Formats: sequence, structure tokens, C-alpha cells
Amino acid sequence: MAAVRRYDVLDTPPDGAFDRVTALAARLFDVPISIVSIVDTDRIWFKSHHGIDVEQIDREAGLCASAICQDDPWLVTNAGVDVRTIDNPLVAGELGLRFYFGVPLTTADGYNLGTLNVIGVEPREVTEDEVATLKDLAAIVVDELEVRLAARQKLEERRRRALELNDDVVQGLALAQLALDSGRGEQARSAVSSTLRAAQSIVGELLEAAGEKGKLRPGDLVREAPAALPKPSG
Amino acid sequence: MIDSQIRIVLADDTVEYRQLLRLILEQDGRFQVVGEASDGEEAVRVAEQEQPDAVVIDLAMPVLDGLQAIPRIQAASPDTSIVVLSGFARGVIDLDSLARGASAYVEKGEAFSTIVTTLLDVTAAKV
Repeated sequence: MAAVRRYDVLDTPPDGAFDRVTALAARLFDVPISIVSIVDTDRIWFKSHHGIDVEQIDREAGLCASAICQDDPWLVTNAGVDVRTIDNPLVAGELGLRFYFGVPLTTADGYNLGTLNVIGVEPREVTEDEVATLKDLAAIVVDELEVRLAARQKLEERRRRALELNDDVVQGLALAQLALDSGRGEQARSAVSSTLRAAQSIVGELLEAAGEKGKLRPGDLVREAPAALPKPSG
Repeated sequence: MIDSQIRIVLADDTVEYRQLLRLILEQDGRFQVVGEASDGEEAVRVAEQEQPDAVVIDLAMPVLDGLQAIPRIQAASPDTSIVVLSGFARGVIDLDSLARGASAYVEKGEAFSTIVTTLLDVTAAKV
């Protein structure tokens, strides 16, 4: 569950990237339904649901819960006679599902977040090629989730840096200005010195964090225009 | 004279800034700093204890930040005006501060006279 929380995907709005994958999966398998499901503590939530107008389902009622609990694809070729599913309300009830094939959405560090599945109302087998196809599509879904996680982490990092600049640089300069305003030159000078050191250390850390890309080479420091401090606004 | 002074609590985790603010406010003569706090939780406690005319509060602080502390200070000391004095430029967080109950928002770096006039303004109704 911690992994699901980390990806922060539950109850997010519909997303074209995932909808394209479920539409494609349904078409390739020639079945009416395909779902990207994400497991929550007591429910299975659908990040994308092609061919069925349902956004979530109780964890107990779902077929996905069983699929998520294992690392291999979960295949039910005829749910009407399969002991694992014969009593399931989705199979015995109005929907009358017969075919279920789900592949876990496994993250790079080995956590299963949910499944990509295809569902049909007729019994059906799958070929080896089809197993490979659904696994590849599931990997695309996980890649998309990773991209979104990375983008969010990058924003979080920028926010952290902004707060650090506020703490280490803005506060120091504010102190210096207050000291100047009250005629305390010596205190202002000392605040400016320590702020300068703090700013230099932040610049150093940012370049270091950029690794090889942060290494400065001859020519990198050629400015487009001479350095100029902004003019006081008043 | 003492009775007519405006009683202030200062909450800022930068000790030097807080001390300097205290010095300058007290030199002005119209203000008396009755308490200091270096985090949001302490600000609530000191405000409750002192029931000051105004609290000057920074936003980025340990334990409880300024935005969290504002409504709690209001609850603990309903007659106190809260003036945010923050390093963030207007447009970042000033409206949130006012929405949570602050009476005014002053950027650190504005002329010191702005802090003084703001404090006089927000406490004017009570003195």
C-alpha cells in the first residue's frame, strides 16, 4: 500500500495515456472490456476503464485482487466453470463475465500497484504472443506512472530548494537590511557576509547535484550580457 | 506612558532578526515587546499567556509554521491582531495569510517604517 501511496494515483482524473492503453488492449484481444486497476486497502480503483462504466469495485468482489497478489499473469479462460471464480458476483450475476486475463503492474522496485487486464463475456484462451503483448502494455502503464512520479518529485525538489533559499538567503538579507535601516552597519556587514557564504554553498550544492552535467567547462561562464543586479524598485 | 504602549509578541526563528526587531521597536517608544517565540507552537503559548495587542509572526518556522499558528493564536487570544512579517514576496502566500486570520502582511525587506505604521494601524481600534 505504501507503494500505491507513493505513486499518488488513487482518485486522480482520467488520463488519455492510460485510456489509450486500455482501448488498444481491448482491440488487440477482441474483448469488450479492459481496465487499469489500482489496489487500495478496501477497494480496487480503476485508473482507466474501457468498455465498462464503473470507477471502482469492492476488493472482495473484484477479480483483480487475486491477480495483484501474485507476480505472474492471472488467467481465467472460463469463469463459469473455474472454481476460483464460479461464485463471483461478476461472473454469476448480470455481467456474466467469462474471460479474465490480468498482468500485475510491477514497479521497478518490485511492488505490485494493480493490474492491466482484459475481460470478455465468452470463454477464451490466450496465446504466448498475447501474454507477451499484455505484459508489454502493462510495462507501458508502469512507465507512464514512473514518469508522473518523477515529474512530481522534481516539483517537490524545486519547492524544497525555494524554501531553502528563503531560509538561508532571504532571511539573511532581510536581517542585513533591518540592521542598515537602524544604522547598525557592523551587524549588516556580518549578516551580508554569512548570507554570501550561504548562497555560495547553495550554488555549489546545486552544481554538485547535477553531477557531470553540473561540471563547469571553459566557455560555460560566458554570459550573454554583463552581470547586472536588478535596479531598486523604490 | 507605559500603559499606552502597544504590547507586542515577536515570533521568528531567526534569533538575530527577532532581537534586532525588538531593539528597534522598543527604541521607537510606542511599543513594548512582552514576549518572543522561535516557533509556531511557542508563539501560540506566549500569545495565550500575554494576550498582547499584536503578534508579529514569521511564516517559515519549526514545529508549527505561521499559517498553522495564525488561527490558533486567534483562538487563544481573540483580541490580538496578527501581522505576518515574511521573507516571501507578496503574491506567494500573503492572501493565504489574510484568509487564515492575519490582519496584515508585510514583506521582510520593506522599510522598517512600514512595520511600524502597520502595527499602529492594526492596533488603532484598540488603543
